[in-house]
Amino acid sequence: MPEWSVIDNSFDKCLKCNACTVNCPVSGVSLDFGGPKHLGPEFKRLTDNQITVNEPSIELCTLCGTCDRSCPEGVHVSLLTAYGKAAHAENSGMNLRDLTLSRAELVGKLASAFAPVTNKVMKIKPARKLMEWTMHIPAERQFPEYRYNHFKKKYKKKVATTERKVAFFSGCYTTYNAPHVGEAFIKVMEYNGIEVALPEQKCCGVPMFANGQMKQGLKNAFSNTDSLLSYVKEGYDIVTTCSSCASSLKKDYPAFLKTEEAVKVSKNIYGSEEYLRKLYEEGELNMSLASLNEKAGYFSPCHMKGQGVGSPAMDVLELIPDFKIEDMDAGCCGQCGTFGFKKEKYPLSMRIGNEMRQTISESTKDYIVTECGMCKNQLNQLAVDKVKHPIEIIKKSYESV
Amino acid sequence: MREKFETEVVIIGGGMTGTGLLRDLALRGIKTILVEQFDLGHGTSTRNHGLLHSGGRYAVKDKEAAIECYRENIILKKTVPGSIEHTGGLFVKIPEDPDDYVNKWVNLCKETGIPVEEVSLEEAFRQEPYLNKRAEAVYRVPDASVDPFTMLTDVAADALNRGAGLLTYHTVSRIETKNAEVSYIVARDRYTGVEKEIHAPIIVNASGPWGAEIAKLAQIPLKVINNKGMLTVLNHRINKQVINRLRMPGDADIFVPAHDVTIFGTTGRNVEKPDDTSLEREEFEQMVEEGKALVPNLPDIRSIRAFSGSRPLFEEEGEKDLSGRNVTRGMALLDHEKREGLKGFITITGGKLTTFRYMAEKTADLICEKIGLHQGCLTHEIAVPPRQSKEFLKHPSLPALAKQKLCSWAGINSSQIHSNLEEDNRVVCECEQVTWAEIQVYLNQSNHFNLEDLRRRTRLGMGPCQGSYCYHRTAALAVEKEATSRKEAAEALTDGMDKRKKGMNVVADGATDRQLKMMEGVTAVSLGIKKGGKAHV
Amino acid sequence: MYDVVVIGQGLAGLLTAIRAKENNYHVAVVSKGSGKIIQSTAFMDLLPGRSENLTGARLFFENEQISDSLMSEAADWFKALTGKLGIPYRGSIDKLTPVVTGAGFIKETALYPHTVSKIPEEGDVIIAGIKEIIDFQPRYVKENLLTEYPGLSISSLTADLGLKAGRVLSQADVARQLDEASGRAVLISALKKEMKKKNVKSCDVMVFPSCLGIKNSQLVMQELEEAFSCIVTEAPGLPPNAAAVRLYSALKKYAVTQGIRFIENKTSHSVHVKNDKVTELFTEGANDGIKLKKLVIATGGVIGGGLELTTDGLRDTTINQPVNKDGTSKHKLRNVYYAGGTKKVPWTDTWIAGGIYTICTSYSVPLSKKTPGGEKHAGMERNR
Repeated sequence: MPEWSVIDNSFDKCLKCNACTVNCPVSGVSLDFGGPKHLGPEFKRLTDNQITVNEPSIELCTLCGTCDRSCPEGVHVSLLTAYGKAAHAENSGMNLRDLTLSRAELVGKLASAFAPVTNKVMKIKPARKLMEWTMHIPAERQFPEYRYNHFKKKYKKKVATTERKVAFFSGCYTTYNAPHVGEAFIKVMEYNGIEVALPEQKCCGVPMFANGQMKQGLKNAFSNTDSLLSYVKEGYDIVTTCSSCASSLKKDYPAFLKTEEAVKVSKNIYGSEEYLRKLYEEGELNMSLASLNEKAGYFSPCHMKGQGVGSPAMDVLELIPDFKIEDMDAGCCGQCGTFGFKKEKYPLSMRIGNEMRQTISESTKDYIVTECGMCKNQLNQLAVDKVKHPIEIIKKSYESV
Repeated sequence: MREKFETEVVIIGGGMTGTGLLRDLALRGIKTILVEQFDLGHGTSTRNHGLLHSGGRYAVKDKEAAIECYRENIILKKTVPGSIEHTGGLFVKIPEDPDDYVNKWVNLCKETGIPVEEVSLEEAFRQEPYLNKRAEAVYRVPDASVDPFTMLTDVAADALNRGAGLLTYHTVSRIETKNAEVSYIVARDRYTGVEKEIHAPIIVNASGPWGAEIAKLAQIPLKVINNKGMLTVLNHRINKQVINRLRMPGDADIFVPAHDVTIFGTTGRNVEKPDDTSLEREEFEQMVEEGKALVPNLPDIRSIRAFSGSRPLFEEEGEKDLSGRNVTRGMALLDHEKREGLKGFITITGGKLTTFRYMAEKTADLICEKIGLHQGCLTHEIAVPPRQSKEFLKHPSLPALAKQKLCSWAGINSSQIHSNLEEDNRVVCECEQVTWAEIQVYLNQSNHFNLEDLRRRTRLGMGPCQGSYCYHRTAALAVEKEATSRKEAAEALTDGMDKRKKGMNVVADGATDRQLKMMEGVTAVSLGIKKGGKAHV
Repeated sequence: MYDVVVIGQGLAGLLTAIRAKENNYHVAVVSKGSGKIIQSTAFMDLLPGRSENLTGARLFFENEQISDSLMSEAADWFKALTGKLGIPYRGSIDKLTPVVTGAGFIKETALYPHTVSKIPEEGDVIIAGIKEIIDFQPRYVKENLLTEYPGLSISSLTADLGLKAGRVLSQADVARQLDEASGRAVLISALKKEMKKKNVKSCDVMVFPSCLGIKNSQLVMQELEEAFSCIVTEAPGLPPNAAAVRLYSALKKYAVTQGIRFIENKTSHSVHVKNDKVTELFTEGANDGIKLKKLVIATGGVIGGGLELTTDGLRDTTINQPVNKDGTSKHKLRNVYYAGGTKKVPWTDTWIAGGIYTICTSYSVPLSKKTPGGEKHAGMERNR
């Protein structure tokens, strides 16, 4: 693991203006949380080249990255808190629950293998009570369902032969919980005459970074970088349907790994709708989209907003005739990946999600659109049953022609 | 009518030497009053690197000074433990430095007894990632980082505990002599204008850069050359150890880690006036240019402020007889009875922060000789109370960093801070994690509300925002808690902000420039405070 | 491809974007962070830090090509916009209003939020501090206010909300507590208790720190006014002030839901210029530029980071063009406009241009209304 005192001088630019803390979803509902200003630039400055100080409230940071896009001075706040979380985890040890949650891929593999059982058990109250008691995973928390026939089981193409070719980073959620999203993406690419390869890949590392598992996260990051770079060199564009994977590949890898390879890969990463928008702008998008007379609300995930690409899902969905889409600007959902699965954080998760719940449940949309599986989980639990990935809608529009 | 005081010794000047002398005399049981025109350490003593020399820097240039430094280095680590961080120091040779200096330096260090250890380049770069990768040789010496603010506070507090007297913010306006013998001084309170007469058979001029002015009050001609040096405070601590350049001492070649920052400097320019602490942008830029030799990306590292102070260098006038005891070339102890025939008047000047104790010892020895007291020095054996107070680690409600600050800071005030925290546990200065509980301790000890004094005692406002928030908070809280009046708070705020701005202005580019503009905008536009603490309408 | 790209999401950036959207343009805001609006007081000053009224200010404004009628039109627009968002602004440009700051000084401002009222020169005033807010100390505010208006009869007291915190709480933090009914109930009962203890019966005006709610400021005002039967006002001071966060959040939410795109976390560094027009904006870490038809620079000058003072003078950091002394581009770029404190205005040495100037310049960025059938939607077109 690169030293915590890794040279990132961005914290020197902090003017203590509090913009990060004012915009931080966790600070908004928790006064116990030290907040991004204190736990990021301030903490780094006060411990750099000095003794290690352990501040337990760093556990409440979700690494959503809102601080990064709030800072008017360009401080890499979440890079600092990520290292802060790693230092804290190293200092105070990891519990089994956090370790388990941080291994989304392993959990996905196991849960999918026993999917029908897993999904049922997760809905049995006594079983959940037992889980709450032993693992501190709240019984009220809904879980996404796992699929026995997961994506990697069904899609094994490793090479694409079309002129424009895509290497798909499916991510754990699409792979194990929502293979239909992956399939929809393949289909949409097919409509555009683009073949999709599925490179060797590991969990992007987001749940590991968020749980202070920096070493394991970096291991995955190095391995993914190697694998993806070989595709980049072959002229593939790397596309993912998950906003958190995209955010990590684009933003975290170059910042954490500090290698040229990671930078090179990061420049070739696209979210699925971002990629469609690129095709459109280059005049290559298949525009035979059928009319969809539907009214949807868009929920933008924090990890989408932080990528600095605007709202590609909105841009692309607006191309569908008669389709009405409105950005709900409903804040942070509060699920925040593994955060919302933890008993002691569950009340905060609910409070963060309150604004979203109000905004969404008061709206009269047919359904909600979001790129993030974890946001979907919280939307399902708090506000609305029908939540779709934008790629599903595009696929439907193509199919309806 | 002036209030009259009687004492055995009056010390003029509350720098490190004067304060050290105050404690030395208190330990020897001699009644002493120290008079300082501003706050303790207003002059040179808080305007330096805060480097506890190992002697390495002087090994080639001035062997005697090197020996003194190393001896004092060991003594101070033992006797002022709370103010010294055992950082160690590196001497780094870069290609531009002369090759033959290295062996000469190593040999002379060995001769002098300064322990020198060669550090592999790999190890040095691992420990100090900012270090120039073109470095050719690195040696470690027992340099250390010393906090002059806490050292002054602790040495003075210990002296006061032992019965010494201290008048800060008192200007000496007269030194009265009678029959070629000192009689009394007149000291005027800067805040109230009230004058005091202090009678004593011995008056020590320990006023550093003001030495000539004070001597003149006693009609004694004295030549002090004030050599001004500029230093800059880097926003964060970039090094674990002191970093020196391995060459003949020059400008801008030392980086000293000091708590959360690194202090980098210095320069040397002779100035006319003792209170000339002006700062030149050009000088700063030259310093940064030179400093790149040790830390190549120095220009990219934020400086939060700069400051300057004068080294008082004593110069012997032409053919005057050398009856004074010129202890070394670095320090001068002048017995004006022998020199000019004025009985009871002594000047101690020159020297270094590292050797203050030794200067005080030599001065006190001379005083003892004059008053016929056979009492040896004790300051090399008796330590001031430590600062560490580990019990704060267990405090239930403070943020971890504020606890850490108190752990290394609270010292003798621990129990008072503990009880203050029960009433109010708020952090006032976030940059340096200063709690109101600490500030309260010093407010209670002082008759006047002065933000800069609080800064020197607590690190209030020493971080990147330079008091943008905490100065205003502290002033308002002090009024709220009836620790000061509205008027005094307003004056303190204006004065404090002006001083912060002065230090920021000269280094103001990038982040510090924006910080300064934000500070000015918030003060003038948001809070509506105009210059002089008055409302703007 | 966007019709209009605005750099910066401070007051100027958000207002310009909203204005352009109203005129049917496809708009994107490109920003590094959330803009200096969060550090402001949310007062719309005429000449910040100065005491001139309109007669004194007119000369300055006219030199900036801002006429009286534009000023009043822009102010009305701003009032209507904030009214629509549930945070109505009051006041006027012709007659400035004396308001109290978080330090207790009186400053005169043109437009002010609904949570603020004029301070009378006589009468009974309670300065109500909140223990959790370190940035507002009621006795200090009282003493300073008395030097301004000696005719006032002022009491100061502090309500303890009993909040435990792991950080230094700001006015905005407490405002979020007051957004909840439970938080308001605690405040009201704590204040009543303090009033009883101090034997303060009633007052004409009650002055609070700037913490009177973010989302539910209307409710906060209503409940406090009912509970104490007096005028309730907040006094913004050390940032972050709730008044500013409230304005920022409301404007941004409105902008997003109107379909304005936010390209955040992106530091602009240069542009592509063709025939004296900017065609593309480049940002750090991105391969492709952002294609645009018109560019608005709303970067807040030196304070906002759009300009930097160097030894060689001002440097533009966002589009990398040589600039004049006032921060505008030396080369005449035909589709580049400036809004707010991006440009150095002659009345300020703090680089803060002031709310009124910002409103006027944002309102009047020459983006005439796009008429149907005229210039085509430059964004992604449907039904192609």
